[in-house]
Amino acid sequence: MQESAIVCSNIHLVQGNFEMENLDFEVKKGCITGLVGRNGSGKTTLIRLLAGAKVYTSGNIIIDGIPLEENAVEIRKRAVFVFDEPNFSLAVKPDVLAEVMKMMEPSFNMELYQSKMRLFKLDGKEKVKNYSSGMQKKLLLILALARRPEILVLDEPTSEVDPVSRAEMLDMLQEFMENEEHTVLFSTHITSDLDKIADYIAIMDNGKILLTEEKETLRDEYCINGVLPTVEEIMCSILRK
Amino acid sequence: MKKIINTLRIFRYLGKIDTKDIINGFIFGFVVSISMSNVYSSTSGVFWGALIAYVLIRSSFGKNDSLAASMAFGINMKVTYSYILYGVIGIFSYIVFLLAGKLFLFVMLSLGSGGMFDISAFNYQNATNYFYDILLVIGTLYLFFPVCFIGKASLRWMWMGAAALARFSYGIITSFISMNYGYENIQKLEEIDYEAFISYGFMERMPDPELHLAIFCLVVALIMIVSFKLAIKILRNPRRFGDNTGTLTKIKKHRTKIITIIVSVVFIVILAFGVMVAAAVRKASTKPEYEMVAHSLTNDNCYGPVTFEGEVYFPAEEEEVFPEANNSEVIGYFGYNDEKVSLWYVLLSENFVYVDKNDKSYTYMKVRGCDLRDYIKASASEKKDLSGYGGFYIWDEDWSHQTAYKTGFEKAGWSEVNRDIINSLEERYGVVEYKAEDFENYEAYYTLTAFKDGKKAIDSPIIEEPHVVGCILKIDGNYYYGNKENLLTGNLLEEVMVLLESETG
Repeated sequence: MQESAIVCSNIHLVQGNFEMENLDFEVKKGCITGLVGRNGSGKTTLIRLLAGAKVYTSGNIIIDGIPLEENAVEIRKRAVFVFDEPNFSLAVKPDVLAEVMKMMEPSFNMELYQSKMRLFKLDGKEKVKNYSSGMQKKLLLILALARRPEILVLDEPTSEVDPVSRAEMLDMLQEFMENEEHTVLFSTHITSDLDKIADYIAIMDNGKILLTEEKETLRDEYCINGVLPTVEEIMCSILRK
Repeated sequence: MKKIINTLRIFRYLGKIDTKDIINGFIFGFVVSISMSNVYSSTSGVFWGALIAYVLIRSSFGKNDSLAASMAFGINMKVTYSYILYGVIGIFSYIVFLLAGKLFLFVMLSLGSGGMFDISAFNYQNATNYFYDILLVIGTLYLFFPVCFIGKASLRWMWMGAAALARFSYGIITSFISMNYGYENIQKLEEIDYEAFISYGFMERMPDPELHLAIFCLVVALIMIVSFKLAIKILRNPRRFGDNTGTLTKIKKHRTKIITIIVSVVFIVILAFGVMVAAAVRKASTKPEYEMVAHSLTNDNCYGPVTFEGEVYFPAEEEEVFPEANNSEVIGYFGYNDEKVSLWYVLLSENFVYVDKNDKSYTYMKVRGCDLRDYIKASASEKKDLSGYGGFYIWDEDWSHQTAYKTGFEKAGWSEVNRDIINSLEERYGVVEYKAEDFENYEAYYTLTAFKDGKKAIDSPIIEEPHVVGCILKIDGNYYYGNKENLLTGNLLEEVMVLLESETG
């Protein structure tokens, strides 16, 4: 049986008018799981819960076999979480940021960082605030990969990114997945990305995970007249029920 | 060096400073600095240091969703780095602002506005007092350190309130103790130019100051250790202390309770403070030191006469004070213009009158408290030989106030007096018998003084104690020399009038 990289059981959270009740969710190890849902369904909240950036009222989160509440530092050595916007000062230059991150985490791969910066033609000596939002997204992915994680969790990593760069970012994720021990979870509204690279699809609505299933299984299940549906069509079918 | 720079960069760059952080930083800095000042002195350096340190720590390691918090960096390391940064910024800014304040005073003294402040640039000549002050700053700063990691607003407020309360309580208790001990040794008073209440009063007045300093060091060390441990505990318990907990309903439920507790505690503290102060004032007013035994006779608080034991006293030159430092005793308090013992007097002035135990005629008298003044009985002062003095001046009653508003070193409200006029006055009136009742209803008052170096007395920013030769009183339109029996007439009156009309300032 395939191991789970991330397991959420019975998560409960109340935040204003939003409630996440008895959420159960699993991300298989060695796979790319795409998380989709309407706006406000709780995708970002879920990712932030996994990152420890939000605290749930009750429940359990286990990442790579380690309970989140017991040893968050050990989890951070194995899992990197990338939010939808930079969670650092935009006044910094990427090269300076990389240097500081290297000091904090000696395993930070400076060569990978530099090669990817060249690939995406990003100037490491330019302040992040002068980057476009798409360039910032690329930088976030580069920094995440340079930290050499085993589990990568991303919140809308390809939004606002041009198609060419988006294709390159997806290639980077697939390259990352060449190691069978690696796992990726990413939320997105760009379902075509999931069509390309996802192994599993998780659909979320109103703070609940409606389903987590292999993409191919879903396509077979929702196949109409022999035509395999896209992730978008599957999602719309489920959410419109 | 690079590691230090990169460490500072963690706090500057690996988090996002938002408006909430800055607002909370201002509140934090304000609470810390108010606690530090114990209400009645200014410590703006602490405010800015606490604000900056709070914002940097809170936006980086203090927030769950910052890049710094998401790095695989141990909690102990996060707290250690924050701990060091907090202390360095807090103390550094305190010292910078303290020195800047001293520099400002030097500049103001140089520009001639020192009279307005009437204090010297340094508070202490005893290094122990500075050490105590720094310890107090460190202890107070670290009382608040764990707040940098508390995300829940209610808990943050509770901690700040508790820490401020602890600090205030310490200040009240030490003030209360030091008020009751009085001055142990008058010689020590002469080593400083300006009394800093907490440090001098607490450290110098109590017996065994070294023991108390040692105990205080231990308390500060304990505070620093506990604050470090608590910060680690807070970071390890994000559900209990962190923000974004998603338990808003629970907070709302307890909000009323929390507010009630805070308001009750604040009310009790204010009440306790009021009771303690009232008790202190009441106790003070029954002590022999709080019987007024001397008061000023004119509005000239620098050169003017005072009355003590029914006699008139004038300001004494330095070399005329008590020869033996340990023979002084407090026999009452001194009031300007009859000021009475009150809450403000006990807290802010508390000018005690000291006499020489070995001199029952009380030739000299000292005032010590907010002011440091030495006085000599007028009858003793009259006997002084004037041959050693180079400059003679007449001063009006308001010269010191007028001087405070002038620029440069020159003083206002004076005229130079020719030695001949002094000699004429001495020859005509001889030894003057001063009576306190002659000063009851005067229209104008002028002091005649003698300085060894007259030019220096006028040009120097420091107010030198002169020898008081005598005084002129205007009563019912007439001018008198020293008392109501010495009516000025004839040429002498004309010469004196020329002096009075030609006064500078």
